[in-house]
Amino acid sequence: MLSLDVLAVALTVEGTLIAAALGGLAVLRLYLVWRARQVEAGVARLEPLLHAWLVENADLGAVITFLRAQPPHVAFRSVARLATAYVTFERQQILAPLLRDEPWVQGILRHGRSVFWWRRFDAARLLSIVGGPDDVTLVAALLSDRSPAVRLVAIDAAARLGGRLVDLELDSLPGRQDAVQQYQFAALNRHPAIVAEALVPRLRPEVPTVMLNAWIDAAGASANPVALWRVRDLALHEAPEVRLHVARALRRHAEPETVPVLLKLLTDDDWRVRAQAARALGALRVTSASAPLAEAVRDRAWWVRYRAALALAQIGGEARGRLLLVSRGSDPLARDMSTLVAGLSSAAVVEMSEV
Amino acid sequence: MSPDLTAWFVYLVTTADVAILWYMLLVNSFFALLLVLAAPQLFAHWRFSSEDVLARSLTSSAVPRVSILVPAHNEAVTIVDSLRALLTLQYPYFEVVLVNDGSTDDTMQRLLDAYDLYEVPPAVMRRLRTERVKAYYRSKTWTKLLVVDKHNGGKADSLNVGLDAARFPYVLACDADTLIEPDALLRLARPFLFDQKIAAVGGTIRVVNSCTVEEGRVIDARVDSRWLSGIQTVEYLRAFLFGRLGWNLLGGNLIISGAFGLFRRDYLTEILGYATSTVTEDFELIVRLQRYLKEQGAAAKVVFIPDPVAWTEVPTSIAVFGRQRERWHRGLISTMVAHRALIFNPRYGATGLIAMPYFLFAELLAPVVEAVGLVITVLCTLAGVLSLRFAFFFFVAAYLFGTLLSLAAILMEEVSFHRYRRPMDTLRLVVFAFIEPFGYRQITVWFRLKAFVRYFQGDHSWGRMKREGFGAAAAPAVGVRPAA
Repeated sequence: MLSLDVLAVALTVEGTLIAAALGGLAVLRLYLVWRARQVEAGVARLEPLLHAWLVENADLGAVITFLRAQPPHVAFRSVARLATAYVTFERQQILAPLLRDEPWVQGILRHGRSVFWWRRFDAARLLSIVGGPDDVTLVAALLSDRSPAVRLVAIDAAARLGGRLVDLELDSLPGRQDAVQQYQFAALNRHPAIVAEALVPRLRPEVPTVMLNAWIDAAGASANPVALWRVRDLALHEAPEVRLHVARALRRHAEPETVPVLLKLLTDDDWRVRAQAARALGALRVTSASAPLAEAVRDRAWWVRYRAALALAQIGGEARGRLLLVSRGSDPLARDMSTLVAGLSSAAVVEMSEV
Repeated sequence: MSPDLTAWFVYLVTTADVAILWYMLLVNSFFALLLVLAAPQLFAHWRFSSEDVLARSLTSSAVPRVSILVPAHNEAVTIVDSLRALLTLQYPYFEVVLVNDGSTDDTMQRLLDAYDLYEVPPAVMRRLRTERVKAYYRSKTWTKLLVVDKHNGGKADSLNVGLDAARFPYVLACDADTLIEPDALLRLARPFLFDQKIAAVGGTIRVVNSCTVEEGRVIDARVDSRWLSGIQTVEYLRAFLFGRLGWNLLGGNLIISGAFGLFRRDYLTEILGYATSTVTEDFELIVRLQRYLKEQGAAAKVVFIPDPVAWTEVPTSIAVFGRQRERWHRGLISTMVAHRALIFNPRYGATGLIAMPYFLFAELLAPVVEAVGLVITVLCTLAGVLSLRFAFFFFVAAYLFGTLLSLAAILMEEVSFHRYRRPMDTLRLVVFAFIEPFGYRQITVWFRLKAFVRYFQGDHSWGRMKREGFGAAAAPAVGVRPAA
């Protein structure tokens, strides 16, 4: 059984920890409030200096000197917050080399390979603002960091530096889950010209299906015309998954040559392809597709009927008339679907077509 | 009493006493372990959530599409405001599927009037067996809204109807009277975007009593000065900030609150949605989901993250509080019985070897052990087997340990998210942490013991829950489970 001595020790330890917790409550709170106020003050003082440089072409030296005089964490937080919010990519290119060799920047970047994730995180964050050609190796390492937060921030740095880093990130996309692919590509695509340059050569029919699908999705998300021309050429790919991704991506490709391709995909053997083709025809407002879309409302697959009905409503005019005709027709499934969609407001049609 | 009988009695109670002491030592050590495991995670989530770069990334249009499922039964008083708060969440792509579960008040009429609803054909793919749906409605003014009117079948049944009607691959289950913070959905989606294999994510539930609420939003967080809701505020902090965070690392998170959890819809559909036969459908769902994931060899995890916040009202009267706790414990018993095959079963990994035994011994049996321990301690002390001095020191040690855990939770809250801005609120939390073991714990034990009786009587009712409303009229509602 527990002896009184053991209980006495337990009581002493507990009492000490309670006292420490109470003391910690007061001290830590005060310390964190003090640090937060320091950063807020730094941001407030940096903002007019940065504004003067951006708007009035004032000397950038004032910004550099101000940051040099701050404690490193204040300088870092202020730059991270303001540079991301206000400074364009072109202006960041001017700012970056001037900040890169500052002692406080060097101090933070030295922790780019630290064992502590939050230090690597800060380094990746700073590299997305001040990174230069010498940092490519470090950014490449951070792109495959074990911490997902570090990897995510490193994508910003990779997009800024371009070249091999964008290639690395594009190559890693197919291995990610769908939502993650979209999300990471959106982060990468903040500098679309750099990304499109790397993406277009990848859109070739002989590329393995999984990789090709991810890159077709990326082309669709980027809405880059050159990339989408390459996507259009993949519409007759033998793999239905690829045709599905092509149909989905082409809804962003408003070119006359896209229409026959989509009409062909609307009669595909795979219902998923037909559904996405219908969606794309609606998104592109292809009035000439009214008749085949009205026919697709009678499709045996629920999703095809749904997408085709939405497409007719989205196109409007004669197409909406055809939708109303279907809603009074003899096919009960087509009638239900067209009744559902015909009652939607224009805003609802747009929103439901997009997602 | 004969000397032999006396000797037997002394032997029996001392053996039981030792067993209970060891039980308390083990359970408290486990709580301490959860605390140690939670601290670094809390720091990580605090850093993630306070970084503006992540906030910016999360407003990307590439976030997962989410269907918010809202079961509503007799919520006429609050439904219009609650729904408006949901429809104005900060998230690029979501829909709200509100399921009116056969309300007998004018919930449906208020929805029809406020949201300009029109009936649409039942163009959804029905996959789950539910009570019959009367009609589907869409709104002419709010494109994100779908209202399903159905016959009464309970909360789980309504969630299943919502699950069938949902269009998006992720679903958020929430209560109609839960106030979700505007950016909570963005935060809740974070683990899905970090390329981790995730089946479900839960967020923090906080106590809204005494907070200032305007148009369905908490604009000033306060700690209620009344003892019952004040102590529950500390209890919720403890359960969410280190209880569930600790479980993330142990790999056996078994509770995602029914009032605030984001799920992959395909997993929920595969396990045939919510069980309608239990009174704690949220707990049962996660146990079944964990079971399914392990049986399928899926690596997807159930995780908790602390920064997405939803607010709920807790009971302020002993009667309502008692019914709630009794129901929760009854649900725990029925779920543990239904899934007893998982307990100590290595096939189910951490869920079978750590989480289920923990819930059996440290949650389900806790009130029994605590009550027996109290009785035996009194008997032993009266019989002179246990010295008064020892009993006193033991009580103080147990009391201080419980208080220490509560203070640790308050400390974690203060240095991370710091939602209660006034020093007076922090002081109240500390005071409630010190007084929790006196009365509150014993009341809880009593209601949890009652759950065993009602379970064996075959009672499956929810019991009436009455709420005060968010500074407005009262509204009946369900509760939100804070257990560790």
